[in-house]
Amino acid sequence: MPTSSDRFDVEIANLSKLYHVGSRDNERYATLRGEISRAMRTLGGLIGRDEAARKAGEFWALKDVSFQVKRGERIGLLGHNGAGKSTLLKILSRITAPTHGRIGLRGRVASLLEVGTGFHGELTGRENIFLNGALLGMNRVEIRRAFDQIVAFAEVEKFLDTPVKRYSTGMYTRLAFAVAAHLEAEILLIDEVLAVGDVAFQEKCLGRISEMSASGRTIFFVSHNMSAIAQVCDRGLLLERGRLSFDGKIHDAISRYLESTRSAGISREAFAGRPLAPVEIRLRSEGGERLAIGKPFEAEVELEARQDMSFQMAFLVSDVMGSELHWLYPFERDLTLRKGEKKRYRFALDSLDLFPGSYWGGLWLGKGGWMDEFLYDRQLYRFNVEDNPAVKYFPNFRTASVKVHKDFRFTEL
Amino acid sequence: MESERLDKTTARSESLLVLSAGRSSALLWKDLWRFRELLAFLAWRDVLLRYKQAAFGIGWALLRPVLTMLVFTLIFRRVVEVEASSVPYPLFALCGMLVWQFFSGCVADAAQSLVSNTSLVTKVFFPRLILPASTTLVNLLDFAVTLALFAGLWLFYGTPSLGPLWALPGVLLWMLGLALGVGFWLSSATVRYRDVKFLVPFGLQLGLYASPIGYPISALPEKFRFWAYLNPLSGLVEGFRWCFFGSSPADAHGVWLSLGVSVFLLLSGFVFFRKMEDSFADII
Repeated sequence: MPTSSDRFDVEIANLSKLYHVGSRDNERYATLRGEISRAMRTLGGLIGRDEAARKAGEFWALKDVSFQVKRGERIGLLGHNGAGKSTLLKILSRITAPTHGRIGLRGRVASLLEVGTGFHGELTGRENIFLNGALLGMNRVEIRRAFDQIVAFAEVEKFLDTPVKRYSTGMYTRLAFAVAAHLEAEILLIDEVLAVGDVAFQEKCLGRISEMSASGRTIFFVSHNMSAIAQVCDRGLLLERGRLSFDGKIHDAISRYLESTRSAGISREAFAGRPLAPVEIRLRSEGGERLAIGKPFEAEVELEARQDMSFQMAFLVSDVMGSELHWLYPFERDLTLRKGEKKRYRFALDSLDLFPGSYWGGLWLGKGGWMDEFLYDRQLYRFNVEDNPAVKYFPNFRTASVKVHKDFRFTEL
Repeated sequence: MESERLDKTTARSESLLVLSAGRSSALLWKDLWRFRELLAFLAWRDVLLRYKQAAFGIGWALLRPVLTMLVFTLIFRRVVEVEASSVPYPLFALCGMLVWQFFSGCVADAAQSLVSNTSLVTKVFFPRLILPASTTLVNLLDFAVTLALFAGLWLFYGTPSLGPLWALPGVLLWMLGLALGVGFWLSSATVRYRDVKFLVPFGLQLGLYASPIGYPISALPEKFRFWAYLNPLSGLVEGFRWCFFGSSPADAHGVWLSLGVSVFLLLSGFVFFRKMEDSFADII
């Protein structure tokens, strides 16, 4: 281990984190009755079986991860859902403790793990700035010093004394990001903050992140948007099933990641413990699985509920870099599933409006309210769209803004 | 400006922070100091939210103890005919209510403090002790309101004799410590066992009658007094009555017993909470 005057801001050695999933912690918290009945079973001589069941439910979210980071390095964390990116950030930010291993941190750590955590709708914008700042570890003097910058960045001057429950989603997001983005810290952890907001705001956030990294901060960045990662980071760490499988230049890491995703289907492990999870996704066009521009398109999604659920669903199309292109979202439809029930749903388009190339199919499952999500995964299923001689288009004309389609048919099967 | 600020913060925090499995306890006091303002901010948030959209507002803090005092006056004075002391009964009962309202408010709020802030616990780091502790601060405000009411009633009854008021800070400290201790126990237990949510209101209902709020300990038969003093609230309430009315407790040893139980609850609650703390984010 390097000692005094070394330049490492972050040292991670043999870091592991064990979670218990499956039967016992399916309910995520215990009840007295459960504990008592387990104690009875143990007394009844079934120790061996219970132990085996516990072992089967063990899940290493991180396993023997070691790396070191110098001051000012900008690290992009890559990996599939369930690969351990978020767990790593949670341990770095001290929200959860590692099972094994050791972490050395030099400097203050600030996390932008979820924009708007701790915001309260009844409080005004001004009150929320102070509360949120305090939650993120700032004191009053620091918050006051950054206050004007935060307000200017969020563009909410006129609404400072309005309860944030009356804010638009855009205003809310801007304010929340602004507080976190003006933290005084040397190590910044950023997880998917760009998932919300419009394109202009995302640009602004990326700009702010670049600005912060230019002033010498160490940055850890998680995003499904590869172009954002490429823009911000200089070094990439690729996690696969909790292990560090690549550590190097960001562009190499991104291509390694994209390669590894080529054949990825849906892994059940990634959704272990979720109340509602996809079992299968199948994409079809007329008479086969080959998809082409201008041809009919069908996406069949099979869901399984692990408890009684009421939810809404959207099918997402993203480009290879992870930027969202389309949402097929029947937002007038509230769907329900009983515990243990499986059901298939079909999204159908008369004409697929995607240029030839490679894309990601994804899913959003939620309750309608924003941040009320059970699942939001843009990269569940990779597919290709082929050329179609019947369709004439200008090949150079491409758009990257999100479209919400309304002219598709949605069927519960 | 930007870089200048950064230089200052880096200079301040050059030391290496080492985290490993089960080592976080050593950092507690440093973390508590760093997040000391959050305690006030969270309490301030809860005060702001507490009486928002309640038409009667802070008036509830006054109305609740007054109503209970009236009910007590009716039950214990007229029906059961408790002979309290030389002090007018409503004043006597309100003194008990002062403590009870604070204690029960703290216990009910603290038990829910972690679970009702799940998004904070799973998404931001700060010493979790702050959550149950801030509910104590919030209830202290209600306590102050009731205390003013008590002073008013005392004047109304023509200023009966006063006890050793100088001891009041000590008794207040006792009350805070007890509320914190029980709060630590219940808040961390609720994270693991949601059953606590059902037990707490039930326990509080019993507690109001099991504690000497509407009656003095001296009204109990001699052989029950030891058991009564195992309830930390017994000694605490008698302590308050001693401060305010100068009435000596039924059994001085009993008061020490109550104090001992309170200290035990505070220390064990703290230890239990710290033991559970690392797993909060994973199991909440």
